Amino acid sequence: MTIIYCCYGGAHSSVLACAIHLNLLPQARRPTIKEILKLPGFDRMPRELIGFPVYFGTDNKGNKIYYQGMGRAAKAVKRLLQSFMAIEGIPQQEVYLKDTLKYINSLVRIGGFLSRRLGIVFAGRLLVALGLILAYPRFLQAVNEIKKEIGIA
Amino acid sequence: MKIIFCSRRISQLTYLAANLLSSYDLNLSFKQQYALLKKEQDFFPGTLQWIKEDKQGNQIYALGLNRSKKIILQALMGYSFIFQRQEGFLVFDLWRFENSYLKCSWSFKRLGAISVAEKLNELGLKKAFPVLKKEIQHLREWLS
Repeated sequence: MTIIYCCYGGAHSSVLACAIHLNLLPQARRPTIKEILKLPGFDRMPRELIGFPVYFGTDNKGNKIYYQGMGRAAKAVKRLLQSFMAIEGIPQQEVYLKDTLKYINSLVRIGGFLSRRLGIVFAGRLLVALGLILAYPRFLQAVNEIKKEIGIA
Repeated sequence: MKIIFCSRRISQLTYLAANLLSSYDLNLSFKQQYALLKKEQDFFPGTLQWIKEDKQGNQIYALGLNRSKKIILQALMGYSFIFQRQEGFLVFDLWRFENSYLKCSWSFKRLGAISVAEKLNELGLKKAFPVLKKEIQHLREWLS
């Protein structure tokens, strides 16, 4: 199975969801800023690569985990995935697409804007990390629900 | 091979390109080609739609785009890699053949002035036709 976590820029919330899915972050407590900043791919997605799903890892059941930025074209990209799968004869249950944008807060939005758009990387990353720490329980719950749904929790 | 024609949403420009690619006779005039076109079918951006098969057995698809063209194309490329379908895909961008007539046609269509939109669409297609035909000719040569 292929699991794609998607968000606006593919740099923060989807990366966090992938990391939770692959047990790179703690379940019992909130992660530290350092732990978040050390995540592979965190705040790294270049603007010109938005839209391209990036491989993050494979979980213990062999599911491949990707993160993807969809920019303002989220609806179009979701439609593309559906029609692509239909044309190629890929069964619907083979792919799980999860939008992680709804779990973020204003800190993540502002930090992401500062870092990715304005290039104020240091301050932006700190704000994003802080925002994600605050929103962490929601992410944890969402990812654990997915894992339960696909039978790996 | 799968040939994907991309244009803003899915317009008659796509169908014209598909007809030119699959046609036995490339010497048909614009009027004759225009008469063969289906009534315009609009789809939402991101929709990948099968159009027809050409004489060499290539499958022709249309992909609707919007202002986020790059993102949609990146996603298409990414999905073809993820599902290992990257071989045999050819994406042909029709966006560059759009001219001011076609753009105005879209605006009038949105406003509900259908007859004006259709006339502008025809003019736009007529203007794009010679260059499009030349490019499709190159594509046909390359495919064969």
